[in-house]
Amino acid sequence: MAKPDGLFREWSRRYLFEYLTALVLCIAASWVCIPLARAASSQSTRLSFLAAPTAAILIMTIVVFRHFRRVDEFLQRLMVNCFATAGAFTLVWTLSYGIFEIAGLPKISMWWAFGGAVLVWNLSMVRAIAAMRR
Amino acid sequence: MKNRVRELREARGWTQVEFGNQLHVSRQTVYAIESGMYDPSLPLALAIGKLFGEYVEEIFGVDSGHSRGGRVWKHKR
Repeated sequence: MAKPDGLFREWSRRYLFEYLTALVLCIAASWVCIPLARAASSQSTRLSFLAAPTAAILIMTIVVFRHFRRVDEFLQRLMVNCFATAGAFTLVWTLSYGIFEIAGLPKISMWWAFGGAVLVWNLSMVRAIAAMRR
Repeated sequence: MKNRVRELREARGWTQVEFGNQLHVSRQTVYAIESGMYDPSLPLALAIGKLFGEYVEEIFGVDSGHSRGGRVWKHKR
């Protein structure tokens, strides 16, 4: 049932709770499993340990998808716009940097692509939410 | 797209939150529709019409030929 302060706050509260729970699970799984994977002798054991954080990342994806299904059509459109902005930014900067790597710039980890996408996604969401608070 | 949502809502004495709760949409969405920032989908527009007891075309109308949701094409005769 909707609270008097509006559906947006209720949706946001549920999303934040689920997302933070999944994030804690992901951090805990990484904290435990990555050192174990590094210490493992065989490749199959190493992969088994590293599957645990991957499962937590899948849970985070499900949480985002659940939030997408929960919110109304306008907020869904905002979310899609923010994903698209992050995707376009990632395409442009990874392709550009890939070309610069040919010229001798250092090869960087894929974490940078992920970090850039998450940063732009969150900045787009903050901008969209700020625009709605007017 | 211009609309009469704010006028009709205020005439009934509903806040944006109360109106949004009846349609199961957020206050932010109500604000976006009223300000013309967002054109609702057909199901939502029909729900708004039903709630106000008016036809959709009496609530929503095309203005200068442009919409934030996309260009309104003028057909050649």
